[in-house]
Amino acid sequence: MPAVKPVTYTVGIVEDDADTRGRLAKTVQADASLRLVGQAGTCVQGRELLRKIPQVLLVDLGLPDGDGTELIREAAAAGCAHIMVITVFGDEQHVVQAIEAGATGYLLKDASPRETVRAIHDLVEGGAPISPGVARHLLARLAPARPPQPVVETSLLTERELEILRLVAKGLAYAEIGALVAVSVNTVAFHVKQIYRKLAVHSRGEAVFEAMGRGLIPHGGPTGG
Amino acid sequence: MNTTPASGAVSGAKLGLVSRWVLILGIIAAITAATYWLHDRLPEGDIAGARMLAVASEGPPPDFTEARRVRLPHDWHDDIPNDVDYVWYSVEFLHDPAADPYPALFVSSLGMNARVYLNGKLLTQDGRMSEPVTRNWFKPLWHTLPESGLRSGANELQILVRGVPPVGGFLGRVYVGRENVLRPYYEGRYFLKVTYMHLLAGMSFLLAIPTLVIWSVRRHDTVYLWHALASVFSGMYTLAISLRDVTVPAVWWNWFGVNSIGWVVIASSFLILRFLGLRHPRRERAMLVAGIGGAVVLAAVAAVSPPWFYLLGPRLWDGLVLSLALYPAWIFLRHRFELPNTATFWLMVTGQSLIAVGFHDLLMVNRLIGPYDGYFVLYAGILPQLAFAAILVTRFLQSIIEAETLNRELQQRVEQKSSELESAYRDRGELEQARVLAEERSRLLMDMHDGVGGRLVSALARAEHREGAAGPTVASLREALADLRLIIYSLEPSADDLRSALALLRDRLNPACEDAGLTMEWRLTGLPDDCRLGPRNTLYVLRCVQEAVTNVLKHAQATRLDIAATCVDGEIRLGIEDNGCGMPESALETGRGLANLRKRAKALGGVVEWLSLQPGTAMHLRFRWAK
Repeated sequence: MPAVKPVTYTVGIVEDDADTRGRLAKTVQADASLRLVGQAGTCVQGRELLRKIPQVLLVDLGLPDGDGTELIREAAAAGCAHIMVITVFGDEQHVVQAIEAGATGYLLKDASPRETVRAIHDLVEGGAPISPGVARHLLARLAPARPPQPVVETSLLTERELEILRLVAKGLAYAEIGALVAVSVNTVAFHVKQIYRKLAVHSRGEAVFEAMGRGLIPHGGPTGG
Repeated sequence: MNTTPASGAVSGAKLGLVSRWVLILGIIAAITAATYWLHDRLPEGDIAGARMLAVASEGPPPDFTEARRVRLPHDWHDDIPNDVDYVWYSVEFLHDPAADPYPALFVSSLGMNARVYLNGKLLTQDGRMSEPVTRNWFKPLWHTLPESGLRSGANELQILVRGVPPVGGFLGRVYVGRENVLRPYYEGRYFLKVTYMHLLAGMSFLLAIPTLVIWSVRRHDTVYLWHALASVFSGMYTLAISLRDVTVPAVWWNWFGVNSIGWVVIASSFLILRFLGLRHPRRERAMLVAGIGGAVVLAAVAAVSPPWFYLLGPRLWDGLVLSLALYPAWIFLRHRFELPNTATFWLMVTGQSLIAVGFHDLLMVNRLIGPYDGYFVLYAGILPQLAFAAILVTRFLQSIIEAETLNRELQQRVEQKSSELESAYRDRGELEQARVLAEERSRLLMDMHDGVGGRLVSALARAEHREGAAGPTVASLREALADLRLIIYSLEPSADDLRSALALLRDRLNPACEDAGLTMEWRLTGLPDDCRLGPRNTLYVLRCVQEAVTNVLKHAQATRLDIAATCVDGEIRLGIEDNGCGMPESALETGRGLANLRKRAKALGGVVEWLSLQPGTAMHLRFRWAK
C-alpha cells in the first residue's frame, strides 16, 4: 500500500458496442488513478449510472434507445465535472454537438489505452483539445464577426478567449498559440475548456429561450441551468 | 399640380401680381387709346354735320330740304324708330381742284352697310343692301372721288345706310380730304376691323387643334376638350361678328352669334372647373340645359317673330351670358392660389383685360357710348384662350417629360432589381448547392459512424483482444480507420483550406507521436488563409503527410519531427524532416509507402523528393497551386 493515497477519478462509460466498451473499461480499470464506477450500453442504463455521479463520463452519441447528447445534458446537470464524447472520427459535427450539450472533450474510439488515459488526465487536470473546425464553429456561434452587435455577442467570451479561438481556427497548435500570446500550452488548453463550458451554457440558454418562445417553460424563467 | 404653395410664396406672388397688373392695365389703356385715336377726329376733312332722313325702302337720293340736321357720327338709337331699315344722310363739302384734284372719301365705321352717291350719281356700294344684307358692321368705307363727278366749290354726298331693325344702324365719321393723309387711317381701321378679325378667328380655331389632339389621346382629361370647344366657339363668335357675306337672313346669323358667345362662356366655365379639378354636377347640368335650351328657344322665337328675337336675343340673352361669365371669373378668383403662380398670373392678367373690354362692350350695347368702334371683347377674348392653351400644353408636355423621367427611373430600378434578384438567385443556388452537399456529407458521416466506422472500431477491439496491439489485423484495421478519417477531414466544410486540414491531422497524429516519444513541430503559418485545394487534392496532401509521419514512426527512431508548409510563387512546399536514423537507399526503390507517396504527389501534379540529413531524412513535397 502506498503511503500517500493517489488522487483517483471516478469514471463511467456509456457505449453501446460491447467490444469497444469492454476495451475502454479494461483501459480504465488498468489505470491506478482511475476508478470505473459503472458501464452502460443504453440511455436508460446510462441514467442509472448518473446516480453515482462519476467525475468523468465517457459517452457515445449513437445509443440504441436515444441520443447521447441528451445524456450529456443530464450528466452536466447531475454534476458530472468532465464529460467526454466517444467518437469514431472526431469530426466537427459530432464534437460540436457534444460540446453544445455540455461535453468538454472527446475521445477517439480506437484510441490506444495510453492515449485514452492521457486524454482523460488532460481533460481533468488541464484543458481541452480543439480543432480549427470546432474553433470556427465556436467563433461563429459566440462572436459573429459582423460589426453591428459585437459588444453583446462577444461579451460572452473574454478578449483572450476570442484571440485563442481565432488562432486555433487558423490552424495553429496550442504550442504556437502559447508562444504567440505568451502563455503556457496548459493555459491555452484551460482557456479552451472554459470556452466549451460557456458554449454549453450559451446553448442551454438558447434552448431555454426557444422553449419559452414555444411556451414550454413559463416566463418566470428557469432556475439553475 | 402644385395645390398648396407656401404662404410666403403666395404673398410674394401677390406683390408681383399687383405690379404686373399695373403694367398690363397700362398696356390695355394704351391699346384702347390707340383705337380711339384711330377713330378720333383726323387732322383734315372731317365733316361734322349732316342732314338725315329715314325712309321705308331703298331708292334714289331723296330731297333733303325737310331733313333733320344731325351731328356725325350718328347713331339711330338716339332719334329714329326701331323698325326703320334705311336712313339717308347728306353731307356737303367744298372742293378746290387746284389744292387737291383727287380727294378721297373715308367713312370710319358702318352700321351696317351703305351706298354712296356723289352729287346724285352712284359712287359706290359694297355688297347687298337688301336681305341678306352684306355685313359691314364697324368696317370703314373708302373711295376716291372721281374728277368727273366733282364740282368746284360745294359738293354733296348722299349716303344710304342699311341698318338692322330693331338693333338699329349708324353712320361713323365722314371725311373728305387728301388721299395720302386719310389713306393710313383707313388702312389702320381696316386692319383692326377686317384683317385682324379674320386672324383672330383663325387663331381661335388653330388654338383648338393642340388641345383637341391632346384630348384625343387623353379622353378622360376633359379639360383639353373644353379648351378646344371654348376656342372653337370663340372663333365662331368672331366670325359671327366679322364675316361679311352670309347667305342666311340677318336674324339667323344673329342667332348663330348669340349662341356662339353663350357657348364660349359655358365652355370656359367647364374649362376652369376642370382645370381646377372641380366638379359641380348640378351647376354643370344647369349650364348645359341653359345652353341647349336657350338655342332651341331662341331659334323658335327667331322663326316666329324676328323682332321678338332681337328683343330676347341681344338684350335678355346677352345679359344672361354676361352674368354667367361672372361664374368662371368667380371660380377662378376663389381658387387662384391653388394654381401654379405663372398660371395664376397669366389667367389673371388676361381675364382682367377681358373684364376691361367687356366693360366697354357693355357700355356700347347699352348705348352709353357710341357703337362705332364695335365689340372689343374679341380682341381680348383671344388672350385667356392663348394663356390657357400655353398652360395646358405646357402641363401636358411636363407630364410627358415627368412620365419619361419616371419611366427611365423605373426602368433603371427594374434593371437594378432584376440584377439583384439574379445575383440573389445565383447566391441562393450556390447556397442551396452547399446546403445539399453539407446535408449529404452529414448523412454519409452519420452512416459511417453507425456503420463502417463503428464496425471497424469494434473489429479493432476484437482483433486487439485476440492478437494484441501489434497484430497484423490490428495494423490493417488501424490503417483503414486512419484513411477513412483522412477522407472525412478532406470533406470537413470548415477545414476546406489546407492549413485547417493539416491542423486537424496534426491533432490526430499527436497522441501516436507522443506515445512514440516523438516531438512534432508544425509550422503552418507560411500558408495563405485562402489556400483551398478542394477535397480531392486536400485528401492527397493529408495522405502524403500521414504516410510520411507513419513512416517516420515506424522506421526512423526519431525524437523530433519538423513539419513546415509554405507557399512561394504559387508553389506549395511541404517539408517533413526527422532526426532519425535515415533511410536506406534501397527503401527508395522498394518501399511500398514511398511508391504511394510518389503516386499521390503525381496526382497532385507535383513531385516528392527525399534528402538524407545528418542525422535523419527530409521529405519535400512540391506542387503548383493557383487561387
